[in-house]
Amino acid sequence: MIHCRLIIPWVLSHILISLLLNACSGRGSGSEYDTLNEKQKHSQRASRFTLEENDSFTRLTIINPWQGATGADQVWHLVPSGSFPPENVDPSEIIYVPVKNVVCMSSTHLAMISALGEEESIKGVSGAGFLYNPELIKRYEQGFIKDVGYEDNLNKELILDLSPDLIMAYSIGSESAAYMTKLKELGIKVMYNADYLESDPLGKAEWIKLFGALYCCRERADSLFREISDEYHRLKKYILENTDSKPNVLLGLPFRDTWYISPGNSYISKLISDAGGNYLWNETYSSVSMPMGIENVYIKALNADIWLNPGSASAKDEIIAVDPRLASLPCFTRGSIYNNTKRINGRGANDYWESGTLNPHVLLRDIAAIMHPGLIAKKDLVYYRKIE
Amino acid sequence: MKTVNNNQQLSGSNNVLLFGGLLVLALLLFMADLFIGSVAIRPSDVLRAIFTGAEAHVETIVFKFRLPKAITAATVGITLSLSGLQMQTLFRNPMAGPYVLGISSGASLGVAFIILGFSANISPDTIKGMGNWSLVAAAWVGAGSVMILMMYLSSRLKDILTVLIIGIMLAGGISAIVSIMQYFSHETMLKAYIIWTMGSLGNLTSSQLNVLLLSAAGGTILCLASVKMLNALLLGENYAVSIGLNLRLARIIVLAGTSFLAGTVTAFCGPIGFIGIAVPHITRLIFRTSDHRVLIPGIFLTGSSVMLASDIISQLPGSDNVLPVNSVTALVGIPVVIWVLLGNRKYRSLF
Amino acid sequence: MNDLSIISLKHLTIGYGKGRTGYPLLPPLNATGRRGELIAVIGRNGIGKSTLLGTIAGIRKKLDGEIRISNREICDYPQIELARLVGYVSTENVRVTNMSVYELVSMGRFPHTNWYGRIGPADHKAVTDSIEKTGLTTLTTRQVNEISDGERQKAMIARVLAQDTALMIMDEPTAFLDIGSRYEIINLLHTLAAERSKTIIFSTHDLHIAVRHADKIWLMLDDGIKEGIPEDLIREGLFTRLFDKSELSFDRKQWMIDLLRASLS
Repeated sequence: MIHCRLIIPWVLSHILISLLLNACSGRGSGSEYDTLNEKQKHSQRASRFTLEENDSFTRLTIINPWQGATGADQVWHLVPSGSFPPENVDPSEIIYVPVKNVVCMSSTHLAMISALGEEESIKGVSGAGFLYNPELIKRYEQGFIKDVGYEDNLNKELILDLSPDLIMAYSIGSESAAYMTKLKELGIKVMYNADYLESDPLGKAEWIKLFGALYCCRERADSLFREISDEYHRLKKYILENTDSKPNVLLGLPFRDTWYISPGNSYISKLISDAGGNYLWNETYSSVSMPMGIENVYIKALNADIWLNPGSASAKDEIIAVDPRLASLPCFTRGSIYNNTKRINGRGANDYWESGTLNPHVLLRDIAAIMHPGLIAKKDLVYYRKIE
Repeated sequence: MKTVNNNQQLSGSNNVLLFGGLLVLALLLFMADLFIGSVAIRPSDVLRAIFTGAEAHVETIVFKFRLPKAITAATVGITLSLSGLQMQTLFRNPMAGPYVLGISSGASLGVAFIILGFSANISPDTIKGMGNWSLVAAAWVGAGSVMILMMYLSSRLKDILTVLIIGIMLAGGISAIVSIMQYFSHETMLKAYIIWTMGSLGNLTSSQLNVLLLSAAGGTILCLASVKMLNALLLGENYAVSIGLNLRLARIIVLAGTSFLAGTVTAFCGPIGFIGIAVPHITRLIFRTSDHRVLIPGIFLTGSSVMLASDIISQLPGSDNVLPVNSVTALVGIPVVIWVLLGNRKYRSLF
Repeated sequence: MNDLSIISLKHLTIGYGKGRTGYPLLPPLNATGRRGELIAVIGRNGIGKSTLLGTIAGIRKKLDGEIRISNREICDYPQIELARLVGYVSTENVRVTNMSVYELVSMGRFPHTNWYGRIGPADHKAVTDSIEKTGLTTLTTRQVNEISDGERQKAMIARVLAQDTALMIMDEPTAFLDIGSRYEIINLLHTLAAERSKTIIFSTHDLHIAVRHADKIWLMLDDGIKEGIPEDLIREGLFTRLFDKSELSFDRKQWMIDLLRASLS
C-alpha cells in the first residue's frame, strides 16, 4: 500500500522546494510548524489534528492535511449513531460513530485499526499486494476486503458499491485531493489522514487517538498510546543515561548521481537522535528530502559509523550495483549496514510501513541496539536486519 | 581551402582564431569541472591530487567522481550535438535532433521495462546481478530496436519527410506505452524511472566509461566519414543525387551513426535534452557556415563546452544540492540560443 | 548513331511508380542529342517535361526502355560516374543559410573530390571559372540566401558548370526570372554549348526563346516526342498542337510566321 502516489509533482516539489529553502537561507520557513507545535504541545505530540469533545459530539479537525497546505483544514463532527445531528452543521461534515464500514488508502491506517481490534470494519484497501497483517490477508483472500485500486485508477464503482461510512485517504497535494472530489460529490466521506506529515515519531503514533474517536474506543486508544509513549520515553532516558558516544549515521541510497537526503527535522532523524546517534545531516531543515550531489554525500559519509535504510537493498552486492564507489566507505567495509527489511512477507509487503508507524518505541529500540550493542542486545531486532 | 582568394583566406584565418578560442574555452571548462563540485576542495588540493598525490578522500573525489564525470560530460556533449547536426541536415529541418526518430523513447521503453518491473523473464535478482549494466543494456536494446525499424522504413520510403513523421509517431506511441506502464507501477519504481529520465552524468563505472568512449569514437568516425554526404544533402535530396550522392547509403550511414551515438549516450546517461538541437545551431552561428568540414570539428569544442558548463551549474557550486542535468541543459541553453538569435539579425534564419 | 551522339532515348517510358507496374505518362519516347547541342524541351503544362528531365538526370527511375548516355545504359553507370557525365538544375529553391556562393558552386565538384570533399587547386580553378562565366565574381563570398533569385539561379548554373559534365539537364532554368536575366542565361547556355561543346537539354515555356536559341527542339506531344530543328517543326505545323481548342480562335497563321521569323533571325 502506497503512501504517496503522484510521484512526478512530488519529485518536482522536492527539487523546487529545496531550491526555495536554500534561496531563503534555511530555517525561515519553519514558523508555520513552530506555531502549530506551540498550540499543541500541552495536549499532544501530533500536530495535524485536534479532537474537541462536547456533550453531543466530537469535533475533529484535520489541520492542513498535505505538504504546504494553508487554510485547508478539514472539520468533521463525530456524532454517536442514534443521536440527533447537531444543528447548523453541514450534513456532509457529520460522521456517525462508531464507523462500521471503512476503506483505507494507506497501510498505516490498517495497522491502527487492527491495533484497536476493529479489522472487521475494513471493507476496502488500496493495493492488496502490500498487505502484511496475516489477519487482513486472510480476510482479503476470503473476499471480505476488496482492493479498490489507487489514485487515478481508483475503482470508483467498487467504492460506491461498498458504500463505506468513510474513506480514510491521504493527500500529497491539493492536486491529488482532486481525485477524491468525485467521490465526495457522490456523497462519500473522504477524510485526509496526515500522519505521514508528522515528523515526531510519537506524533505519528498518536494518530491512533483519531481512530479511537472514530470507533468510539478512545480509552483503549489513549491507553495504547500511553503505553507506547511511556516505553519510548523510558528507553530514551535509559539510552541517554547509559551512553556517552554518539555514532554517526548515514541514511538512504543514491539514485544515479543524486542522493535524496532526509532533512534533520525528519521522523527518522528524530528517531536516530533519541536513540543516541548523530545523524550526519542533523543540522539541515527542510520539509522534503533534499537532492544532493553524490560526491558531497560521499565526503560526509566517510565519517559514518552506521548506515541505515539503504533504499530497498537487502545485500551489499545490491549497494555495489547502485554505485561501486560506495563500497569504499568505511561503514561499508566494516559491515555496519542495517535496513528495515526484516519483516517482509512473501507478497513483498514490508511491515515497517504498516505497523512501524504505530511502534516508534520498537523502532527506537532497534536503532539503539544497532548503535549501542552493549546496551541492548542486537539479536532481538524487530524491523531491522543487518545487510551482508 | 588553402589556395582560395583573399576573402576565403580571411574566413580561414577567422576559423583558426575561433577554433583556438573555443579549444581554450573547452579546456578551461574541463579543468573547472574538476575544480568545482558540490564539495568545496581547495584548487591547490585538486592540483596536488592530480600531480603529486593528496589525501585519499581528495583523490577519490577527483579521480573517481569528478574526472569520470567531466569526461562523460564532454563526450555526451559532443556525441549528442554531432547526432543532432546530422539529423538536422538529413531531414533539412532545424527542429530535428538526436531524439526525433524516437531513439530516446525506445531507450526509455527499455529502461521502463526494467525499472517498472514489467519484464517477465528478468527478475529483480537478475538485475541486481548485472548491476547498473542492466539499465544500459535495456536502454540500448530499446534504442537499437527503434533504430533498426527506422532504418528499414527509411530504406523503403522515398520521401524523407515521411520518415520523420513516422519517427515522431513512433516516439509518441512508445511514450504512450511507457505512460501506461508508469500508470500501473509502484511508487518507488516510478520515482526511479522519473529520475532516470532526468539524466545524469556521474554514475558511470570505469568499464562503462570505456564502452561509452569507444562507442562515441565509433559513431564519430562514421560521422566524419559522412562529411561529404552531409554537405551534399544541404542542397536537398534531388540535387544531392544529381551530384552523385548515393542517397540510400547516405541515409543508412547517417541514421546508423546518429542512432548509435544517441542510443549509447541515452543508455548510459538517460535522455539528455536540448543539447542535440541547440549546439548545432550555436556552432553554425559561431562559424557562419553550413560546411560540415568546419562544423564537425567545431562541435567537438562547442558541444563539450556547453555540456561541461551545464554540469558545473548542475552541481550548484557552494550548495549541498544538485540539479538534474537535463533541466540545466535546457535552462542554460535556451537563453543562449535566444540571445544568439537576437544578436544576429542578419542571420535570422537558423538553417 | 555516331561519335557525336551523347544521349539517346529508346522506347523510354516515364511516369510514376516502379517498373512495368507503374503509371506511364506518355507512350514510349524516342529522341537523341549530340555533343554541343542546345536542346529545348517544350510541351504543354503537365505533359511530363520535368519527369522526363529528372529521369534523364538519374533522379527518378524510368519505368521501361533505354536511356543511353555516351553509348552506355544509364542504369549501368555507378552513380558517381553518372554525376561526372550529367548535371542537373531545376527550379527547386535551394533553402540554405550560412553558405557562400563559392561554397554552393564548389558543391558541383562533389563527384571529382575525395571522401572528405577537399577542394584542390584544380577544383578551385573550376569553381572560380564557373563563377566568372556566370558573372557572379563580385558575389563570390556573399551568402546564398542574401542574393536575388536570378543571381541564385545563376549560382546554381555555375554549380552545374563546375560539375564539368558533358550533358547538362536544366528544368525551366529561366522560370521566375526577369526578362533581362532570362536572356543573359540563355546566352550563357548558348555560349557553353557552342564554345565548350556541352550538350544542354533545357525545358522552357517561352517558345520564342526556344525557337530563336535552341539548336534542336524536343516537342513533347501526347503521342510522343517530335524532335527536329525549330523551323522544320514549325513548318510541319506541330506547334499548333501545343494548344487546346479554346485557343484556336487567334490568328494561328500570323503566329506561325512570327515564330518562323524568330527561328531564322
